[in-house]
Amino acid sequence: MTTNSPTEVLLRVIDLRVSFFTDEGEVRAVDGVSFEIRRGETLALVGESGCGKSVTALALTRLVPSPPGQYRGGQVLLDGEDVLTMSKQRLREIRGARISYIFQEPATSLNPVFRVGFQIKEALQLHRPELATDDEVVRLLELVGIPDAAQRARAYPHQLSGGQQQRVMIAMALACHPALLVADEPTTALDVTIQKQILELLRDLKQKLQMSILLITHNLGIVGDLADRVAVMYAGRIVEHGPARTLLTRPLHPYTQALLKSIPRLGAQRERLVSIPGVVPNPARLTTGCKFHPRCPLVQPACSAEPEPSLEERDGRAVRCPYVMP
Amino acid sequence: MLGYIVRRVLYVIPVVFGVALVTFILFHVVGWNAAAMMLGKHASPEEIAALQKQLGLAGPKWLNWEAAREGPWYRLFDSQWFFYLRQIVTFDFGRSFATNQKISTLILDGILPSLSLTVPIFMIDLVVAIGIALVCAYRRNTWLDRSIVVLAVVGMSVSSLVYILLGQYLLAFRWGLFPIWGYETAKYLVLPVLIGVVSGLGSGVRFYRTVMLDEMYQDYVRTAFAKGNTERRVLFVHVLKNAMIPILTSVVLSIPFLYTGSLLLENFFGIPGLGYLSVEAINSADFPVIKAVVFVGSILYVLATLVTDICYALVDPRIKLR
Repeated sequence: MTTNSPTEVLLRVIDLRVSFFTDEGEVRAVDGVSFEIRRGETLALVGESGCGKSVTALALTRLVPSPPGQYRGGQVLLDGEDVLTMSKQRLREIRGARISYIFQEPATSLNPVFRVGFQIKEALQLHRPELATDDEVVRLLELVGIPDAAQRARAYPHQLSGGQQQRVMIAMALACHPALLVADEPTTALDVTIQKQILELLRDLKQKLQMSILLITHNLGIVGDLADRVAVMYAGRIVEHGPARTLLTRPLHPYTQALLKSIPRLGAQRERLVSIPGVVPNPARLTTGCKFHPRCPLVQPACSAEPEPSLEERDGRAVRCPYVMP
Repeated sequence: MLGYIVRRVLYVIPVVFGVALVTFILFHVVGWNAAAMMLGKHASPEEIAALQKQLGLAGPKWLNWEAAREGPWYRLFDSQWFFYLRQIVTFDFGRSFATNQKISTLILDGILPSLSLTVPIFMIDLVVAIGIALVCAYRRNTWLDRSIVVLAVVGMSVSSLVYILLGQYLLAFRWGLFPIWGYETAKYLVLPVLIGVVSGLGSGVRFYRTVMLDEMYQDYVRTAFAKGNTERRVLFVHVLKNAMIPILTSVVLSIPFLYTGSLLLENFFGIPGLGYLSVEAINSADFPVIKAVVFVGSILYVLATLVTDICYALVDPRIKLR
């Protein structure tokens, strides 16, 4: 392995556009998203349901189901090589080996009719056949903290708890030492106590294995634990981007501020949970100008009249709103 | 597993009893008067009564109170219902009205020709339809997939009579590729099997394709692709084994077709199986034969569901046989 300086860029996404063609016409699920992930770094992609964050995650290895999905432009450069245009053969070499995934629902993401050991071994066989042994499977299960691993390897997914299923998914994803782990809502389907365990596991493994993580979540509460940087998505675009610490303590974009306010806090003397007024916009019928203006507390006449503001960058932070410049 | 099978076999006993009850009610309680049918409309009531007695259709239907009061107590069971139960237990359904042959012999003789026709049709149909459905799933939403779907709809919309007549006229009569009619060597079975396969293929392909495509959008398929599997491996290893569960269900649904569907083929091709026997018996109002065929058919159906339940457990680990 070459010596990697920590600032070296592993993945660079440039102006990614993914659309779905439905009866309502073209739905631009991802509309011009750009970001980078450096080696060993964790980037959190945050937003409400339907903002395009999961589609962005799947597009990194062309996993968006097509039809109805279609890549409409942009580049996904993994070590300088464009994933969106590479051959299917080359793509298979990357999937699971360089970029691997854990998904929101471990119960349905594992194949119900195969033993979990078989499913982990399959990942090894695809990319590291010399290591596809029962011993390595057991070692991986132990790595993710599954007790009695040799026996659990012979279990079917439905015989494991949700937390253990997600650990199996993580073991499977890590089997071939990926450079990037994409964790798409990894804790959403789990109990709160299990959530914490899984997040701690991810943090440990990240340090142990020196990998990058793209954490997709709608829960800003878990971002602070894990992420180095945060990108906030709204209606298919990034509206704010910056280091996790400053972004979480001093959010700029009105949408980010609203998201942070809506995190419920223990012990806070609040009557009601704070929520963002309005609903997530229908991506088939977006407004002109800033996409957030119908729900924005700081809305100005210019917000809808003028073209959509661009993502302005300063001091390592970027925000898509001319009224809250850093 | 073994305990489950034994218990399931024991469950078959009450089901068989229920089948016996229903067929008895159909044929003896609400059914036609067989003796009157056989003698035609000019027969006198005395003649009908005499024949009924001869056929064992006279006496009381359920319990013979009269005989029990007069003779020993066990004469109570001297009724049509217990006579029928005895026939079932001993597999002796009496003799055919029409030919006077033993019905058990007729049925046993008919089973082999029937199975030699329906089992190949069933197996070939299953393998070919699943194969084509896999191709559709592999090439989903391409011109190939769409053409196959159109062909399948056309194929299932055409009556199987059309296939039989076209096959007999073109392949057998015009081109002389196969014998038209008869049951002598294996060669005689090729055309009916071919026609049986073709007429069942359309609906099979459509159903299995839907099942496969449903599976293609499951989360575990996305995981399989994310690991770097080839599309072929995802389809043949991951999807196929999951798709076997709904496929098994449809196999059960097609089992009665094995029995009734061969009615047409056996008659058009003169294959002396159970279908042929049934149609002959219906034509000549040969009521004990029809009753026996219906009963045996129901039993085969019950056994088939038993086999399917066991297959479920072999395919899906979430199903536990206890």
